[in-house]
Amino acid sequence: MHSETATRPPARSPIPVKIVVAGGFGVGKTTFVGAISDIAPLTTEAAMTTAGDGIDNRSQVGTKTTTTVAMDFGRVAVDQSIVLYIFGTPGQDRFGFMWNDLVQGAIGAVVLVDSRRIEDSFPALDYFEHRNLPFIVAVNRFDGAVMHSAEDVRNALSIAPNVPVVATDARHREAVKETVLSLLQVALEQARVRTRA
Amino acid sequence: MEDDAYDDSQVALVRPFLTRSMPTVHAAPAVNDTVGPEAAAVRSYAMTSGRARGAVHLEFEAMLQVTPRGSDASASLSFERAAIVQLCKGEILSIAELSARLRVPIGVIRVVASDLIVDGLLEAFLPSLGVAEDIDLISRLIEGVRAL
Ligand SMILES: Nc1nc2c(ncn2[C@@H]2O[C@H](COP(=O)(O)OP(=O)(O)O)[C@@H](O)[C@H]2O)c(=O)[nH]1
Ligand SMILES: [Mg+2]
Repeated sequence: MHSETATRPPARSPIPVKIVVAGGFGVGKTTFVGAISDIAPLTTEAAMTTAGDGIDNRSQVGTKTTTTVAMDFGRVAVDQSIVLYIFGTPGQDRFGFMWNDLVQGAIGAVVLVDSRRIEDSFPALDYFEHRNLPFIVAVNRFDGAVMHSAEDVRNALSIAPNVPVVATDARHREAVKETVLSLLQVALEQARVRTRA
Repeated sequence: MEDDAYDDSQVALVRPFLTRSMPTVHAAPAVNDTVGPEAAAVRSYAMTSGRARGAVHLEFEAMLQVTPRGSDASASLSFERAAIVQLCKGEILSIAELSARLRVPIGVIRVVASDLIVDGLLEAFLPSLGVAEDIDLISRLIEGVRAL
């Protein structure tokens, strides 16, 4: 947390932008957000509606199920006008409209992988692989890691060659900055390709 | 962008950043499908008149600032509207921040804030919809994050 930036006078015409950090429970999303945010991470609740598919037989109320998803987020004053919001969101097997809402207009996403439990990242990976949104995979190294290198994780998760897999440490600001920069580089490359086409 | 001049008319004060256009002010209320039986949900329902969406589409990161008219009106507003206007007096805050600070679900804040914009009490700074192709903006972000 960096209080000197929090006291910076607010931009007169802020341009809000956002990135999303997705991953399983306990993977380090809130820690990641807190490492770079100007403010202590805040928590907000979003209702998530999923189409009923018969799995939850107790809900006889209709074809939709509503659950509440807690999201942590932080804010970074990047320059005089750009305000970067970083949303940490749990991976879900079924994504409802709130999730689509969240990623709409995002610069991109970081899929955070716990090096001890890489399978927890499957839902988030599946989601972003089927979306026209820049994303990278960041391996958050925990003690007792089974997977040691980013390449091990890439192979184990069969991540496409054009998707960067980076090592990170959600507890360290510099590592988190580098991870965000890796995502922004991908976003920049894709923007160049899009504008050329 | 220069925005010293406040529009005091009935028009919603949304700054159309880049590709954004003015919102449809009189959009039909959508059917609410997020309200459950709990007391909190009943209260949410009262705040939004059962609407899941407001007339102005507000992203989670859309930022809000009080207008001069909003500053004058805040004493006469109902609780939730007054709370939002009050918070946005001190600083420009996003929908997500309002939701977190007021402990009101984000979907409810969106609807109430949209109403406040339509009433000319708040104005919004919306994210650019063309961000995926905005090389300048992404380049500025990279520069800014490097310098953090
Ligand atoms: N060893 C280690 N621990 C971490 C790291 N990142 C987060 N943690 C710890 O893991 C726990 C869960 O992190 P949290 O950010 O709350 O995960 P979330 O559920 O994804 O938001 C916390 O106790 C963190 O301190 C990391 O990079 N290395
Ligand atoms: Mg968390």
